[in-house]
Amino acid sequence: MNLFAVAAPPAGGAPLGQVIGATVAGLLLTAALLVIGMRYRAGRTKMLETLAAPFTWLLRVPAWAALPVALATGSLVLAGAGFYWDVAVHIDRGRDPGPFGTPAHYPILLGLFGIFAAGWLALVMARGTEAGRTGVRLSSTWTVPTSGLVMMACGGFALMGFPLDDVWHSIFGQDVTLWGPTHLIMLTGGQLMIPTILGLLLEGRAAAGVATPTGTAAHPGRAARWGARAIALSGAGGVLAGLTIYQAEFGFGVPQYNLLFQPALLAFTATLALVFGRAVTGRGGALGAAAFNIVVSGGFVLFVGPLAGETTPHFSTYIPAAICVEVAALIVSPRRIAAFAALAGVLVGTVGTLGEWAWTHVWMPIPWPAHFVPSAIAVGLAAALCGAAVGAFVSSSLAPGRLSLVGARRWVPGAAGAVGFAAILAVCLPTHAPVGASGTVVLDRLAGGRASATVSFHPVSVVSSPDYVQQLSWQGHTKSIVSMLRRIRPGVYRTVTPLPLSGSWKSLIRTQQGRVRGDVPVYLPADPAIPVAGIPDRSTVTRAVISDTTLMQRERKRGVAGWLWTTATSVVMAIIAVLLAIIGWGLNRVAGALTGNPPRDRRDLALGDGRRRRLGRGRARVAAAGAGR
Amino acid sequence: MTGLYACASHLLVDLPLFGGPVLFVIAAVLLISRSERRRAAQDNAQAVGSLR
Repeated sequence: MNLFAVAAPPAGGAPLGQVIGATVAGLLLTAALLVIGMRYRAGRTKMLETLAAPFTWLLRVPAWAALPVALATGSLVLAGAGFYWDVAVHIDRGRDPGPFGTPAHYPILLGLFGIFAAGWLALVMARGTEAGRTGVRLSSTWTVPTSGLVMMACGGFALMGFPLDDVWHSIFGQDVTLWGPTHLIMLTGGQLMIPTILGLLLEGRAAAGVATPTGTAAHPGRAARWGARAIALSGAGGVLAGLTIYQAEFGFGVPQYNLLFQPALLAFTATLALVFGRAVTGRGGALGAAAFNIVVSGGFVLFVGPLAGETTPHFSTYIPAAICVEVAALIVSPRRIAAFAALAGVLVGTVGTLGEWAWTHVWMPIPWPAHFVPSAIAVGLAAALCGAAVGAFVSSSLAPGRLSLVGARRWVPGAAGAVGFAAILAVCLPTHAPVGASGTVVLDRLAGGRASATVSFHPVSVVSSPDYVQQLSWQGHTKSIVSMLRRIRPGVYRTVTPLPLSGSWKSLIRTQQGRVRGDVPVYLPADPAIPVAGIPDRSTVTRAVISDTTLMQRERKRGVAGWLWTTATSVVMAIIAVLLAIIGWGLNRVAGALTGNPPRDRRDLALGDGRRRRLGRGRARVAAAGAGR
Repeated sequence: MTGLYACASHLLVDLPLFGGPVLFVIAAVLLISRSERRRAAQDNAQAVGSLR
């Protein structure tokens, strides 16, 4: 067993010293934040107003909205870059020794704490009833913006993911996958609260309509109007970039779940964000949001690849989907949000998925084969319709006076879309290793401890029409190697890049064919910390095709009671569901409060006062009647 | 059993990390609310006094 052992970090929970350090640091930071807030409320410091001043001017909203919006946006970008970096580090270097064992965790922690802090600042900076129109009354002297509460909850939940992750590791072992249950808490708390940032802006605009001591009213005019549109557009692009992080395993070429997840995630993400972008910002909004995503995701790629020196992630441009949404808007007015979103969903799920198929052959690690496309369209269409429902909810919440309601209650389609998408993923989730299949690996030795490999599968039907046959060499403490194998003849494949077969490298051949996913190991080192024995690199060897999870998540503890796994996963999923419900509640509450007011007081994420005036009283009355139905 | 033990022991150490800030926030909100209500009551009393 020790023959192939390499130095490996511990595989359970974090060392006690790190946990105590994190606890002390977390408490001190929180205490500092609370003291600042309390001093501000008592009128003993002007620091927050000074910090907020440039953002108040730029965003034309009161300080209690401007500063938290700026802080939350910056924090999200920081956390997003950290997420990508962290995934790349795990792919290239393997597990970490604890929450502070890798520098990539620091931007994530700081970013998530920044979101929490932004929520707190929104609460304490809103004095008296400044946020009274849309806010939540905490006491007779204090009404807080709804979105601030949601923001703080999102940050709190996301931060909670770190210690929960540590507990998870100590019970079940480290799960080196982006889609680990506790990882999803952090991702969801961070990236899914972008609409909440826009909700806070909307609350700020609504409050700025009346005189406030801390803010300026929205100024009519072209500049303000374009500024508002730019913010809404970047919000939609931000949603697109944020949701794209969920696809990172596909972008890095190391998916640990069914390949059908990829078209499902692409279609859901694209329809949700682009319907919102087009509906709220007008003509060109979907294309603009896609362009914004290219800039943001491109920035993440540049940071992770060339700058940090890790494996470069790939991402979708969403341009085919954006064109679909723009076309849908030409056929059905986005004001009829339900019909527009549904048509956009149908187009994105079909034509958009075809576009993504083409894109996988241009710049994605796993190109979809032709026989995969009908399944991708079927799943993509269902996911796109779910995304359309959520997108319609987000759009009608952030432009409450302008867009028609979807049904009697705004939140119903949003909830239905989210539940429907979860059901699609649940249907796609189950996969299994082939029964009784094996692969014969023949190595051609090359210099530097590397080798080319020819793999013959038995029976040949295991790879008769594979979704992919991939060579993966990862966790070698340098950039990973991911390539598709070249088919020699039925059932026989050859590597296109030499496989490294020494040190901490893990080299394997991965296949998927429908729900059958299995790997043939070529070389894996022993790992005493888990503990597992090494798998040596034999010149000719026949090995069973085994479960992908067994090789990709070697750190996972075997023999943990099934009920414990089910209970823990259910608890974590319930936390995520609560988080989504809180985000939806916040959006729905703000929109409901605004549409309950007379039309002259309405605010809209993408319309300043000037545009609203240009719409004229007649259209405002029509909108009011529609909203009041 | 090992899993349960690991869970219990880690929760004891980890709990303050995510439980602490939540308690801090609740305490801060209560403190701010109380002090502002007192201040408002004092202001009211002064206003009534000056009217008399």
